[in-house]
Amino acid sequence: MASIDISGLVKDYHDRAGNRTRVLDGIDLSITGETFVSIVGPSGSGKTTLLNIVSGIESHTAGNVSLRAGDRDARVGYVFQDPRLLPWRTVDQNLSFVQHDRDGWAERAQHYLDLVGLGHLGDRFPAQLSGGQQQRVGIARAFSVEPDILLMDEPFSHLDAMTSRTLREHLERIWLESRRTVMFVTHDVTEAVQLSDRIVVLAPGGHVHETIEVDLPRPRRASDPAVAVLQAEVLARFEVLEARAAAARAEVPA
Amino acid sequence: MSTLVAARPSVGRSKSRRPASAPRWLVSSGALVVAVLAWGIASAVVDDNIAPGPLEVLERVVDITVSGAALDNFASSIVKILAGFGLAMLAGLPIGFAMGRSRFLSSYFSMPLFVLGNVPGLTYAVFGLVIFGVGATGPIVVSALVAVPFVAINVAEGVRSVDGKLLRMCQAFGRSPADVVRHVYLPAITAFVFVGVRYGFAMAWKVEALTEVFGARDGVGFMIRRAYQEFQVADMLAWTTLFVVAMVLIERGLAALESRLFAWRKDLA
Ligand SMILES: Nc1ncnc2c1ncn2[C@@H]1O[C@H](COP(=O)(O)OP(=O)(O)OP(=O)(O)O)[C@@H](O)[C@H]1O
Ligand SMILES: [Mg+2]
Repeated sequence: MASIDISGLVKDYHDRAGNRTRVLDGIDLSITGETFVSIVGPSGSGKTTLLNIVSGIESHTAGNVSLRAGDRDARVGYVFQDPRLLPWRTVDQNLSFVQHDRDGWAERAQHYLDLVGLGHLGDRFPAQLSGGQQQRVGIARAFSVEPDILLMDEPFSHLDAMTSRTLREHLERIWLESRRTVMFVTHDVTEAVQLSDRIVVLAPGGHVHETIEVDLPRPRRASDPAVAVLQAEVLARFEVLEARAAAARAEVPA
Repeated sequence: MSTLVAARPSVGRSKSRRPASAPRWLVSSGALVVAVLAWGIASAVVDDNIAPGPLEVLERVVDITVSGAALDNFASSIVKILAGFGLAMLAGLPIGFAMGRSRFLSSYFSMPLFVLGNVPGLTYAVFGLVIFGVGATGPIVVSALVAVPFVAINVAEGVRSVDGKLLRMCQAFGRSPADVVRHVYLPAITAFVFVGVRYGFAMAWKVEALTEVFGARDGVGFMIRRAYQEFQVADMLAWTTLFVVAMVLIERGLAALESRLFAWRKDLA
């Protein structure tokens, strides 16, 4: 069973003049097992930074991050905000490129491409796919490494409403079929309620504002009244936070 | 390329196509025919040994080709250029890679490369002869020196063009540095190296032929000089024609290779 343990995580950026900006300020977060956790928060609250530190792309200033799967280091899959495919490799080759485990990768790749509805396009180059199709390849790629931990950074935010709704459904379906520990960053509270077991709200200044458990049956439909009620409630709380963030920004002289 | 563009639906006028125009190759061969005709007329007017007509030169081209002299001497020149180019790649790849990664090294190498790239071909040819004497070494070293700046500068551009986001993707998926070089850096710089190779090759070839004029026992440059010494203007022109034809063929070959290597750039069909 996989787990993410974050304690006392601090991240500072330093600009050329040596000024320090604290982006994450003492994050404690523990995610265990097949849990789908969303990180929401106003723009600039450090969501991407948090995900990058968890994935090891970025260093941190203080605190501890550990990713475990049983008694070994966890394997990570990352879905970025943009597809980030190698343009000179076909869809199949892009999936092949990230495999840790060469055994049976072709079947795995085919399986997840089928799940996102692209099973027949493995020979195409990314430039020959639409934006939504490229993003779906990115999702299939992350699943195809059979990650213990799946990180996603606003994977649908660049897409139109209809494509992103379809992909959300794809995502929930795939996740239900092969459950993983998920950290999912989003701006979109509605999306967070539909997908998550838990929602972690980051506040500006980079600390955890609150944690909301979502205990609704799956698969969830946006039209389900229980989902809608919770969405409205979380949205109301989130709006208060965003208003506060906006007020704080207004106080800082430009 | 042009077929791809033409196949794209045009906004507004969905049915109508651009009026059919003569294909490119037809137009450029037309230009060639006009030039050859002009040459024929000029040589008929002058009517002297120093201005042989196209037919006479063509005859020499056929003779030279049939006798096997063309193949021997071109092979000899091309082997020298390829050897020089191999050296240029060996030096240019690491230098370009270092320049792409480090601002310091980029500044460090920019001056020497600029100098190498701007020394007149004649200087290379003369120095090749003075230092290495008559033989194959001079032309090889000279074509290497001429090509290095093209290779290095284009490799550096290619390395700079690598998308940091792709590198972070590799990191997130735990790819090894060797994998990153092979699947990200090399494909990214290939396009740039290709430009370097095409220009570098043309340059190296010209300077190499010049070097052969002064210090070689065979090769195209040497044959041109011999024809000059023997006052065989038709032979000089025949060798020059063969030289141009060879360059065009190589250029075409490289272009074909390019479109195969860069199939991934094809737009949405
Ligand atoms: N390389 C960097 N150097 C300095 N500051 C940075 C750097 N990267 C991010 N920041 C700052 O860190 C803060 C958090 O950035 P981050 O990208 O994590 O926010 P986010 O919550 O993902 O925002 P969004 O919702 O807009 O994507 C921002 O104020 C940003 O300006
Ligand atoms: Mg972000």
